[in-house]
Amino acid sequence: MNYKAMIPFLDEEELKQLAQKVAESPDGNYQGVTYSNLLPFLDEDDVDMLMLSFYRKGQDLRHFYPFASDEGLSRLVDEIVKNGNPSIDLRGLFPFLEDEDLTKLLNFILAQGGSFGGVDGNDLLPFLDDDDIDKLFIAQVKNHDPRAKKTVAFASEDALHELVKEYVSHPEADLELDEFYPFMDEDDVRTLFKANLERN
Amino acid sequence: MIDLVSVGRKISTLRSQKNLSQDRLAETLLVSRQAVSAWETGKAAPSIDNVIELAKIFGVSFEEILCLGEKPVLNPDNPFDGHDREYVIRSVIANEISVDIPQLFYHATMEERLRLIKAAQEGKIHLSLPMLQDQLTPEEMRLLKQGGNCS
Repeated sequence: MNYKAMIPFLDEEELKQLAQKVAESPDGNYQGVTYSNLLPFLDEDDVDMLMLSFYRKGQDLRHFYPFASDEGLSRLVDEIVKNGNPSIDLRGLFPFLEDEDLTKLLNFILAQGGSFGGVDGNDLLPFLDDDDIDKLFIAQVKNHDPRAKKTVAFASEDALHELVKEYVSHPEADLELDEFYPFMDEDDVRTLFKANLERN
Repeated sequence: MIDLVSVGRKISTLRSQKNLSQDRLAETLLVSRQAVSAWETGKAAPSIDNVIELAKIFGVSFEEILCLGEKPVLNPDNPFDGHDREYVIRSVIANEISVDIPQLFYHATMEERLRLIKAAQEGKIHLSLPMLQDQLTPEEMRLLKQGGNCS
């Protein structure tokens, strides 16, 4: 039976059963029907179900993102954070995520040392809100991560102020701010240089 | 925010006043001549320790080397002329310097224009649509109208 040609004519329940069979098949192909044939016809709940089952099998998810619901994408982020399966391409996921899920993913990436599954915090930069950019920048500076040199252009003066405060009050923290003082406001530059003079 | 181009000019001027070559200054600071050249052209910032050493060598304060407290003199025809581009953009967004916005837009890169539009959207700066409409692309115009601080 040519299931592929029948897809536009199947009702919701039949589509759901077919999606289930595609999800259960080891290679994501049930009698010539793949998930990409089904996605435009499925409702969001079924797309979410299919996407999560594909994630658990470590298969490519890029085609799912535009069709999945916000809740489904949020559940996917929860699973990534919980299981840490680095086999999927996270880059394609970023543009479809809500702020809250981006923050969750950023925190996870930072907890993994700044990179995970071929992506790092800087790949998230275009999608992050200002607070998360500052959080990323501060973490990079504290970890002596060279990517901070790129992030600094997007960081706020408040984030730089935080670092100067830390530099002054915790000399043992060994913060390296040479690359970043040109981005600070004048008061912070003065504070930083005076602290440096006092140390030497 | 430090204007690295002005800092570079200052280092170059002070070095000349002390009759020091770039090579000699580099030797004293244990850096390469290329590093000194990069500082003087505003392509790189000296490290904090090097700024402090430069201040000692030239007999001035670090504030003077870094041009702190100096009001930049901007070329009205091109606000970027003779200044660090990042410094100009950041200072405009922070409302620390006033510039002719249409001239700034004319000379700004696509990325810089987007940063200015984003700043207007966030209410940090005000952009006048009638003054800019000849310069903006349709996409930029649409972005600016989306909750931007413009009139």
